[in-house]
Amino acid sequence: MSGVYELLVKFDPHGLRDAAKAWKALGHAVDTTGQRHRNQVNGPLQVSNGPDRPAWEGADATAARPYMVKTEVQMEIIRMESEAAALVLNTVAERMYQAQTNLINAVNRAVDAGLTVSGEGVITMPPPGKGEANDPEAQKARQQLGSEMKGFQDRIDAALKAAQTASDQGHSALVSLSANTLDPSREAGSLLTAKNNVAGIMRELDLVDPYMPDGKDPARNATWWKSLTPEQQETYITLDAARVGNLDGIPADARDRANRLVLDQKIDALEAGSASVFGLDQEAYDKRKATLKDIRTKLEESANERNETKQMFLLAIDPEAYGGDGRAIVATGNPDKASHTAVWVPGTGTELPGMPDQINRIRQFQRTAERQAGAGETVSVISYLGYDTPESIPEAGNPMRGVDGAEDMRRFSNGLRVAHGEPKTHLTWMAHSYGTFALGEAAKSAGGLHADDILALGSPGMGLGVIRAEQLNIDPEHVWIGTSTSDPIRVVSGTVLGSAPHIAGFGGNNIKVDTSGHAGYWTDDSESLKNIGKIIAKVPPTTGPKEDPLWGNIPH
Amino acid sequence: MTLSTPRAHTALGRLGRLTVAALLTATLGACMSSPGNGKYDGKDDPLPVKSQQEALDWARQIIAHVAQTTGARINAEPEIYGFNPCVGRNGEKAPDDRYTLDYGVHADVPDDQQNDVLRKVRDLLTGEGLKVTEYQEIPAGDPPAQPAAAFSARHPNSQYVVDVDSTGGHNRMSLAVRTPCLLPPSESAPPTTPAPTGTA
Repeated sequence: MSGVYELLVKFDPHGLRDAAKAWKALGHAVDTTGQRHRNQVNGPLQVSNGPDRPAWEGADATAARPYMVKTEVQMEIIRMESEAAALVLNTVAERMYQAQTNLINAVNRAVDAGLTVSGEGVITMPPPGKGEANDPEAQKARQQLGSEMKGFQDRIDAALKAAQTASDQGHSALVSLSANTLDPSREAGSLLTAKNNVAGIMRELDLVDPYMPDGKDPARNATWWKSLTPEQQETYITLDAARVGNLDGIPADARDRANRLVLDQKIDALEAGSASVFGLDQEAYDKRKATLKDIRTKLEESANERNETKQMFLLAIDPEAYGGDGRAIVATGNPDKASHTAVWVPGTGTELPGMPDQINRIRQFQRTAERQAGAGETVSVISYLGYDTPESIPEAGNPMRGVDGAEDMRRFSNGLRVAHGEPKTHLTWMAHSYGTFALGEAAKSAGGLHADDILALGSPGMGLGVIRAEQLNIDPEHVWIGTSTSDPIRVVSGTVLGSAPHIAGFGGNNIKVDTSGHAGYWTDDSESLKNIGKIIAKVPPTTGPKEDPLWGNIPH
Repeated sequence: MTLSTPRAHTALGRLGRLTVAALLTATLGACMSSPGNGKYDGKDDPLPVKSQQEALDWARQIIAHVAQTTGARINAEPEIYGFNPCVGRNGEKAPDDRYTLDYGVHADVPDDQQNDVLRKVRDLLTGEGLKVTEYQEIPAGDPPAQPAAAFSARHPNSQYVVDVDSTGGHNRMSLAVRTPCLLPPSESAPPTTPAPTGTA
């Protein structure tokens, strides 16, 4: 212990902190390089961006792509492991510095009390004074000093032990970081290994952060996030991506960075694993892998876009959610900065494999709204696959999926408000089919969605017990309903999922719809689509009359 | 797939095209015809064949023609356009990369002249055979808090739609073209004009 005592007394945390800083710098440099590779090389080559910027195709492209993807994975590994090394060094430095402080305090108190501390950290009593043996008072004082000495010795021993533990943990953690994950001969799974290494390090250092909020309160999430330094934020994004990516209320770009890392990790894990490892049959396993790759490719369409209003933000990704149906939330345009923000809630039959099509749709909505918006105003549209959508028409009669998703939807909406701040964005929640029911369930309770406008297309009803628009916690004049004259939803609208919102008496406004069927509302050349854009942009849409409940399906 | 181009880069080109816009207009419907000489008038007809660049040029010509005739002054804001995969009503997709284009610009038009623009575009396009599907003037009387002029017309053969609408705020209108499904040539045709550059 004597060596430890001497080392701890002389310990200077600056050495470890400087080393951590260097690892951080490496992680940051690799991160920047990786983003440039993704945004300026790999992304633009992979996807077509208009007539003048076609995708790179042919034999060379086929041969080069896997290599380029692997290069990006390797940079992510370096980024993660650099962050982890920095975290270890900083944690050890902090803990040893705390131990040193405790040690020095104990030593000083012991010396002040008249005790002697050796060079090995052992405290001894001063020799007895003359006549002390016959002085009851002196004996009592000596007894008291002996008792104090034990307390000081315990404090010194505890400090030395804490320092030794910190050192041992740091050593184990650093040893577990291995450059083997960068072995170019590894086909897949290296990102997964790196992620597991990092998780092991967090356990090794007992770094389950007690201060990280539970995620239930977006305002609290935002306060916590703002309390962190940029370096700390970077550490959380890299080392605890799945939790950070799901925190409503923190900035969209932070969530995006975390979730893209999660997406890469999920793909890597699937590439390295097998159907049985994931508890899936082969078809479901292949489908999940292909779906996540499709989403990643789709997100890369905006990879070289410098205009933030045209960039895409991955606000949530969890392929295992909802019994494997999957959860994903994607924004086109930064919702934290947009003048107008719209959230699109799809309905029955929309699951994770449909996300690329959903992204096409929100980009279509965004362009349509941008044309209608005021000069200088920006638009963000979000595809919200954040509840368990029904897989089939029969399942769409079950209200529980909407009921169960309501709290998450409200929290997400609240998070948008928190992350945007003042001046407030003009927020529209809009939904289709069963999504309008889920939206209504969220809007009717607990203060609702805090939306400025609500749009329901092809709605079977907007919530159990919702018979009037004013129950949705919004001015009914800002509730917009679109129901095509040939939409078969009319047969069931107003039966089990709430009153038919297009009928007079429900309130709100019926927008003019010139499309047919249940899924035509966003037909590219339709007036319905133009009306969707106008509502998002806070421009009055063209409207038609509410329908008469006695006469049923009255065309408008 | 959203793209935007600073108007300044294309302003000269557009002015040049204005002179031929009127002539082109007479043939715009023909441009949209099917690969052969058949009329595009049914859902089972072959799709019109156009490269994305050709479709973009075509949309620009239509808008320039509308702006010139109605006196709407296209301003310097970026164009807003995008190509969408052509998807069937039930999500059906064809493997031939068929697509739609939506294209729009903004024009500075005082609120009290927006109805005049609407009437002119209605007269122009109905005279060229388009069918007006939406027409809403700003009501007479006190100036509204938010002008809401709205116009849409569809070409009976080509099925493209022209939109002219008040935008949010004041003294500004949106001019847009939206196409039906188009089929790219089997071999990608080279762009016929310099590539759009820059972003909004």
